[in-house]
Amino acid sequence: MGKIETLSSLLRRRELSSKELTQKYLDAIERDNPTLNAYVNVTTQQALLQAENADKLLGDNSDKVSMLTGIPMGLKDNISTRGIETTCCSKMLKGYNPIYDATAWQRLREKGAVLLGKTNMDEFAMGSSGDTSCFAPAVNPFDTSRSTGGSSSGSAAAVAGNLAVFTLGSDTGGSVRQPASFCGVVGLKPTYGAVSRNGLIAFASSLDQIGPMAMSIEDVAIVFDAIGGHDPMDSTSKVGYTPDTYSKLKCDITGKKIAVVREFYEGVSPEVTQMVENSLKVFESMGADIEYISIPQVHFALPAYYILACAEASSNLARYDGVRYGYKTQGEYDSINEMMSKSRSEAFGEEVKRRIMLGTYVLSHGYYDAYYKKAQMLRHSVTHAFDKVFEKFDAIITPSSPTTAFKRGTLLKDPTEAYKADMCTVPVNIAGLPAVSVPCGYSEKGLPVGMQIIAGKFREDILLNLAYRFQEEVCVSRNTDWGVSL
Amino acid sequence: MITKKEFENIATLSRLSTDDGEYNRFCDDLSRMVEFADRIKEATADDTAYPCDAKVEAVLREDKVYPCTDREDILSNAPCSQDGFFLLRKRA
Repeated sequence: MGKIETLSSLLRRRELSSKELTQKYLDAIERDNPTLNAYVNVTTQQALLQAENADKLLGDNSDKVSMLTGIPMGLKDNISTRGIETTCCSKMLKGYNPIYDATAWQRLREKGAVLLGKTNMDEFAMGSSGDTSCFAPAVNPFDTSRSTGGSSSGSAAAVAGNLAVFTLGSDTGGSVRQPASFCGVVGLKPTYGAVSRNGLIAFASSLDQIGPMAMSIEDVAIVFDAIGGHDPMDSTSKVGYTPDTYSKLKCDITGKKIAVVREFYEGVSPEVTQMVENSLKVFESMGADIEYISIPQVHFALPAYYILACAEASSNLARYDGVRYGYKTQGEYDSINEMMSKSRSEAFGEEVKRRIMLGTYVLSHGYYDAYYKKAQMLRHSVTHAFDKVFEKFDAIITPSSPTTAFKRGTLLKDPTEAYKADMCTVPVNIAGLPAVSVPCGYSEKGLPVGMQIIAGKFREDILLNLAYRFQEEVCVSRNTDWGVSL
Repeated sequence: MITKKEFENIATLSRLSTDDGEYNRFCDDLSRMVEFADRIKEATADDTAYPCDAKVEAVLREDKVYPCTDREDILSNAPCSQDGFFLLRKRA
């Protein structure tokens, strides 16, 4: 049984109140967050008020009570929360209070979830280490000298450090799955269009997706079922779609066909490769069929991704001009353009500025065809190749990341070296597919290793079923000594 | 390698400015990023042979009047506002 169901049971039987539970988490955050930096904003008063409201519903045995009622959680700081500062961990948005709730948060709030605070991240979700946050970066609860991964750095650290029962992150090129892998937790990137992006502060609109992170597959399934589904406020969300993964977790996986794509293992460390291959044997022992295949187009996914993501970021971040919201320069200027340039240059971090400029370059006259248009064609090619694979196979299994967690600050030295950290995750975003990272072992140094399972579009039920059966069979997850001990 | 003129053009289009000290570092970084992106030039016609077969449809909503967002809310995050408008100081 996952943590959500266990706690929900205690809350419904009144053996524990949501207020007591929330206070435990707040006390743990006060003690451990100065080290872990998982949260950049702790919403103590709001959390206790929400917990009190949850206790009222539980006491009245209201039909509004769900498994999420009274459960403490965290939200990545690029998910809009009405009246609660939402900064994207950037100087550009310090002091910004959204005037509406993101749909994903609204759906959780309506089910009675309790928001503990906003979690740390790479600035505007651009990064794979947590280092580009304008605040002190989050640290890995398994080894505080190491990175959490990114960009959902704080969301992963909060779950691994027992400072939240679950969190929401966002994933554009691996930003839920890679930190999940580094921190030994489960992280789901849903199909593009499965979860509303309304209220998710945009990085790359054709790639971004909100995804849950938790210690168990059951918890991830419960949260995904709650937040997913069509939203009229997001025209890219799938019409008529309602997720139902929790009820299908325990299906038999005998006869499931799993592909192993050779290109995903190029450049992966031997230790990680060995762990994932051990996991494949577990699936075989449970009756799944494994077959090795090749998708050569995967080689172009990473540069195509960075062209497309940076192009979209260049467009999306043009709105930060010091006029309607966000930072405005206090210096002197002679024109509107100069005011905007100064505001943006003073407020954006270096990685954000680099990506905006690359995006502008690939969209500019004379370069558009060679870069952006070609990257879009490669994207279609990669998508088509994956669609063909899923005509025959139920899932693909790969490593979530080529390495285990690296030392903090390593990726700041060379921006393009940092991009290689995303090589296992980015093809999934390019093709709009769902994928989950599940802990599958620990390195000799005790660092978590994540296995990525990919399925066809809107087949999160297959994905989470396979992941659940694996977790039941192998019981890999380890607890850290931080946070709340239940 | 990105030239200084190209870099200045990109910075202008991006509404970003760098001082002389930052210029060399940003120019180097951007050049390396462009080299990274250049890998797609290795893709052949076969690699891009699959056109997008997704149907492109405009997603429209019902032509109904919905409540507007409150003006005060919209202005609540503005660095400068006056009389219900975003304020930009006049410059020559």
